Amino acid sequence: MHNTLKRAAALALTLTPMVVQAQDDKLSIHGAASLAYAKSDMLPINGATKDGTSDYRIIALQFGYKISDKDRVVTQLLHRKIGSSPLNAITPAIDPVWAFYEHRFDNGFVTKVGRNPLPRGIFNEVRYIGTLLPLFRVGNAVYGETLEYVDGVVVRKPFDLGSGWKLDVSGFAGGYDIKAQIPTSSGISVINSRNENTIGSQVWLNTPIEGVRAGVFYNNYQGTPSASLPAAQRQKRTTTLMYSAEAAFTKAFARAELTTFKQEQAPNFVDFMSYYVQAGVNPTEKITLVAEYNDGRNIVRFSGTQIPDLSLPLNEDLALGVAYKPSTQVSFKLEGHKSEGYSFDRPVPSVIPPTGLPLVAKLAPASKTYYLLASVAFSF
Amino acid sequence: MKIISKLFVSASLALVAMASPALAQDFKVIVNSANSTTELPSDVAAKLFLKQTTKFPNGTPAQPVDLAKGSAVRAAFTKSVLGRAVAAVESYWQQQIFSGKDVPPAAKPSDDEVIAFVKANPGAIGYVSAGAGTGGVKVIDVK
Repeated sequence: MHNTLKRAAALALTLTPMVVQAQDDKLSIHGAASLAYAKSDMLPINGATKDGTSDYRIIALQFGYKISDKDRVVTQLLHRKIGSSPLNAITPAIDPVWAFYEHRFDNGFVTKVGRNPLPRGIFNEVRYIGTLLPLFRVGNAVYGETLEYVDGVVVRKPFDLGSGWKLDVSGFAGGYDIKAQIPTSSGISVINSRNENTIGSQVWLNTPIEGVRAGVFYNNYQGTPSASLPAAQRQKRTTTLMYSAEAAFTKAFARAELTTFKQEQAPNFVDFMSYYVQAGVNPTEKITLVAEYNDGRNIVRFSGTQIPDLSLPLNEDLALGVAYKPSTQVSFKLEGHKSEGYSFDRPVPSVIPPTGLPLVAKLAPASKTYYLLASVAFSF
Repeated sequence: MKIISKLFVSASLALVAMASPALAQDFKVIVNSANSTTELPSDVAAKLFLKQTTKFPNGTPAQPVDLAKGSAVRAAFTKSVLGRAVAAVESYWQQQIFSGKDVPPAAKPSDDEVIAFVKANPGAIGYVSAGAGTGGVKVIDVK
């Protein structure tokens, strides 16, 4: 018995490095964190307050397991705390943003099933990864804190068009959460709704110049609930489009994205458009200087009334930032923003209601605030 | 002053002369001995290591293996074959990992472990230092 135990122990000791090695080849663990201090000079915005807050972070932890050369499973957990943002009320402490099974076919076709990264625009898939982003967050007017993943199926296939041109096509179907904050006259309303029966695609055209590409995102979806509502109250299916262009080189980069959608929900009609433009330089391998401008507008049409269309500008946000990267895995950032408009973390005057005929509502003067974010990001 | 200039120019030329061939000889690219591949264009090798191609030109499914980060041989291979700085390749892999697309090749801490991996896997392709013994695996030309 004693000898058997000794042999078992010896065998275990011999096998342990092999097991660890096997796990090393099959199991992958990666993580990323961005931790910030945010302060605004007047109005609270994007979670930044006049008092300043260090309760501001995004942490992602990713586990992957390779079942075979063609199959793997991946889970990514996200913790997000955005200062005093009203969105914290609908943001879970730990959010399983990804949990998918992936199969690769011999012809380069890849399919993912489960909760998948939503292929949308330049930054959607890496929006939590501070070491890859020049600013703390990606273009807020286009991305917000929503449309991050899709529960369902994602397929992808790259095509070589020859002469250096490549097409990268993704398609998806399923459903996803919509999270947003909307200022009202009585306060800030947070929305956590769900779009279902969605189909869409992201197509990238990569040019022969490495780093230069253009893309289009298309998404057609059904807001819920729908089936339980009378036909007259049901939201029609809506289409969202997003256009992206990027030129990213070793020493400089420029990118822009624009998104639009038109939503009809009787009796009103919303025509939305927003965009950001970002450009920067890397004077050295470790330093990045970046500028970003976000803007957009929301036109509300009141059908069946005499009230004319109401055009509500979104916040204009101008950001200037500097990042210092001592290595590819660590980045220190300092960024200042000027935000002007009607959407803050507390209500501000927006529309001056008409007091008589003609019923023309006027926009109140825009409110303005400056805010800064000092952050450190790391990944492994 | 002239002598200093001459010395500087001579030293520079000597460094350039030494540096270029040294880069090419800093590593050997190896595959499993059962793999019929004998040479690879460097752009094909780069695509295999960046997982932009999953098969050798002869159809064998590829399993690239790297040396560990910080290795001088890896730096030389990355610059010479992948045509990018090590930092650029690390950023590329961060992008791939965190977009859920792929993970980098397995990384081994020593030449011996790379060779063992290549011996054990029919589709493996790796690189080792120029002086490493490569018995049991096949050294291929990457041009």
